[in-house]
Amino acid sequence: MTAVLWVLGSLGLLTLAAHMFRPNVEPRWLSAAQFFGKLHPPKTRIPRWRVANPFKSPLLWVQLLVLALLFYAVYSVYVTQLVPSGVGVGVWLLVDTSASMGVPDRFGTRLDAARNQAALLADRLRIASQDGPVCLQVDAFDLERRNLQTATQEIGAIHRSLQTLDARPLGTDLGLALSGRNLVSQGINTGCAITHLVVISDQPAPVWAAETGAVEVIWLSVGKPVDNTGLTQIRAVQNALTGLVDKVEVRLQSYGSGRPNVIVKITKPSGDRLEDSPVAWSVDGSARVTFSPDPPGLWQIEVSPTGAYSWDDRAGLEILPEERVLVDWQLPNPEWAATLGWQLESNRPHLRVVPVGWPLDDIPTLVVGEGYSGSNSVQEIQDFKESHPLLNDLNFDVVETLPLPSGPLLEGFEAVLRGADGGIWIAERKDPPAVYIPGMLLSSDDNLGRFSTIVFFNGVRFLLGRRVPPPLYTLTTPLELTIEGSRTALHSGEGDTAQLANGFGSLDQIMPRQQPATKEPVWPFWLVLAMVVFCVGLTLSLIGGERWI
Amino acid sequence: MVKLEPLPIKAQFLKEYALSNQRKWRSSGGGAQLRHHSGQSLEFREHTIYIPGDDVRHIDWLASARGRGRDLLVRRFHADESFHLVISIDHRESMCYPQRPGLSKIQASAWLAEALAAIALYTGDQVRLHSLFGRRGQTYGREHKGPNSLAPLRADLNRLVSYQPQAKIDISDLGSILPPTAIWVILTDLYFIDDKQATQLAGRIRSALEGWRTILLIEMNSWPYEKALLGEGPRRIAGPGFLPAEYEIDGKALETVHNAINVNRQNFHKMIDHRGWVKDCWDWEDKTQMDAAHFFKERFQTDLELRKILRRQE
Repeated sequence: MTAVLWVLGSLGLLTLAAHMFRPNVEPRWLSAAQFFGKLHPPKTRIPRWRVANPFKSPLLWVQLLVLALLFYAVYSVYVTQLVPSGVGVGVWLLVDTSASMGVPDRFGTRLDAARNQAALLADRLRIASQDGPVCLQVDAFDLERRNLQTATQEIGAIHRSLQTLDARPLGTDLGLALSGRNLVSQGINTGCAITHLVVISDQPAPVWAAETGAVEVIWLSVGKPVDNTGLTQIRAVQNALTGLVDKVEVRLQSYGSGRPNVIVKITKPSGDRLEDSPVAWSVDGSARVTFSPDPPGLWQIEVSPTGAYSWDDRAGLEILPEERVLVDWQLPNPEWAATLGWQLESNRPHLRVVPVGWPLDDIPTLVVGEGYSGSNSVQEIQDFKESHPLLNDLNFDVVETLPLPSGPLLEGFEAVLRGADGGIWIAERKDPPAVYIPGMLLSSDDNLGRFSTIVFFNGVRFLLGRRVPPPLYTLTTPLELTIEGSRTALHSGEGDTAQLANGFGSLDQIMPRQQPATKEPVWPFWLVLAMVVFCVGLTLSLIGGERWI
Repeated sequence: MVKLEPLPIKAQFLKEYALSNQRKWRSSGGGAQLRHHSGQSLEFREHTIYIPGDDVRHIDWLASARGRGRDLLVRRFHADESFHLVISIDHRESMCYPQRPGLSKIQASAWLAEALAAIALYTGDQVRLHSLFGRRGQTYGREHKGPNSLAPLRADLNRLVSYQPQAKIDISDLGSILPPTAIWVILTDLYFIDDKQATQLAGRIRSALEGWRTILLIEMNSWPYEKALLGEGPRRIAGPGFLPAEYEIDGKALETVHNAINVNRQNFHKMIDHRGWVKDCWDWEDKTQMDAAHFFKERFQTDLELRKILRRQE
């Protein structure tokens, strides 16, 4: 917008300049022109342009007025004014089309029940239309809001717009209904002056539905509670040392009062099945099954028998080939890396192992001190960070008997374990992650050797454990609805078909009332005014002759 | 193509003008103006519309009743005065200026021709229009007579000025339409492109005068108005017969042009070299704002030369 304003401002200056510089030589058509042949031509060349007072030109003022109006139209593009509405009924119908609406119900599915409710709404609107004008618009919502019917006065459009509607393998975003209510409350013009927001869903009415406001919310709940068992989450369990996926944990939930006997069938990429895992339910209805995902590839998880809600009964997982840890080893003895199964790589490694003084960047780095030899100082612990992972498995009593070298507190680091003289034994940097340890592993089997081993591996685990493993599966989205490969419909909350969905309000509330004022943008008015003034100026310049220019 | 505006003078005014002209000059009898008669016998010639002042003994009551009582008809005899009026109009490009919002010379000439013709038709005279720069064979229309001829005369006028003006003046047809004792009114701005045109017209005027014809040349002089429009300062001048050129216009330049126009006029008058013709000049006002209709009405009413040539003798 700033650019547009700059352009308009520049046009104004150009217009002013154009009116300042006039042609110096004015043309004249005369019947007596032939007698001018008696005149001598001018002795010096006549200048082509002259500077004139631009403000004497009426056309300049008209043009500047047009630019000013355009300027204001652009400037006030976000300015609105409240336009009052009359008395009537404006209904915005929102129908839930999330995955759970496909659950079988008394007469068809929950979506069929929603259509029945919509038919009752249409009947109610026909009654209300006898007392005032009726306007309606229809949207479907799940993870997005889709317009099915724009603002219309035709009540039959409700049935027509819902006729071919299907549940989609997506979750439910109740925020979409809330944002709809807020839009109307703010006076945003949606085409109808909305008095009532009617939501038909198998989700219980949220708290905000009961809030009083410019728009009445009517929440019609559909779907009788029905037990269901299904998958809720599948996550990877990482190897604490390498960060690689060590195991896969499958979580299940049983909704309702029953705890059915189910098994989890796990199929390898080759098609072979692992031994079936019977599910042991906990008190809260949850259960957990784990397995080792070897070899990599597409695995299939299936719950048997299936539940009322089918989309949480199976999932595909993509296990990627094992990836070796890449380490940039800058210490002597690089064979340690090979011993640990790491691959040496200096270009964007997963971990960097460096001596003190090495420039640090955003790569997780283990900074190793000068080592344990040459230190005779045995001292007590001054302080430490309680329960810090870098201190796992350390016996502090033993630590206080060890001659540990005191290191510096590097810039950006915080002390995790410090000796009585204030020297640093272990330190960390939070972001980007880095750890300081006194020295490399010792091969000795004494307390000092074990200390060096523990702090070294604690540091490595701490740094590598932060790696986020690649997702095992993806969820369906409004743009990708098809369940295939590792794309699943395990949307949170959809499987809970046993909940009692309480509604709010009733259709009897729908009757003509004062419709809320709507906000209308003001810029079209200024734009039209600019066009009118432009046309007036154009007409004047065409018919008014030179005195208007 | 010239588009002519309707005459801004009402028919009633022209009738009264004709009447007042007749009364004004009834007893004058003198002057250099020739009288033109159709003969001295009392032979009935025709009926004309009664104008107050006519001899009531000559009213033909029967004919008037047959005419559905709109106008009284008077018997005219060959002793009555009537004349041929020929009006020549210059419709070259220079006459088409000044353009709106001013009054062009061709428009003023057309109005004047129509007014003169209307007066002549009301008084039973014969009128013919002529184009000075028309193509041979297309320079004149038919002769009109009687008040009912006003509409066809107007059509003739529009037709003549619509023809493309020729480069050279053609007055060879005048011999057949300009009878002796006729009145010849010439409307022009005298802005001839070359001397040949001026010489031809001057020679024709001279020979016409030898046939006891009354000649009135009205010069349409729009220079004062064009001078006001011109103003002073750097100007690019263009116009008929003149390639555009730039000049620094000041008082001295305007005076030079003014003198050149005067010299052109005087040279033409010298070419005629005869005394018997009447010169008249319609000067445009030296203002940039002009009320065309008001200007014409005022000039027409106050022009004494026009009154003189239209007077009737008792």
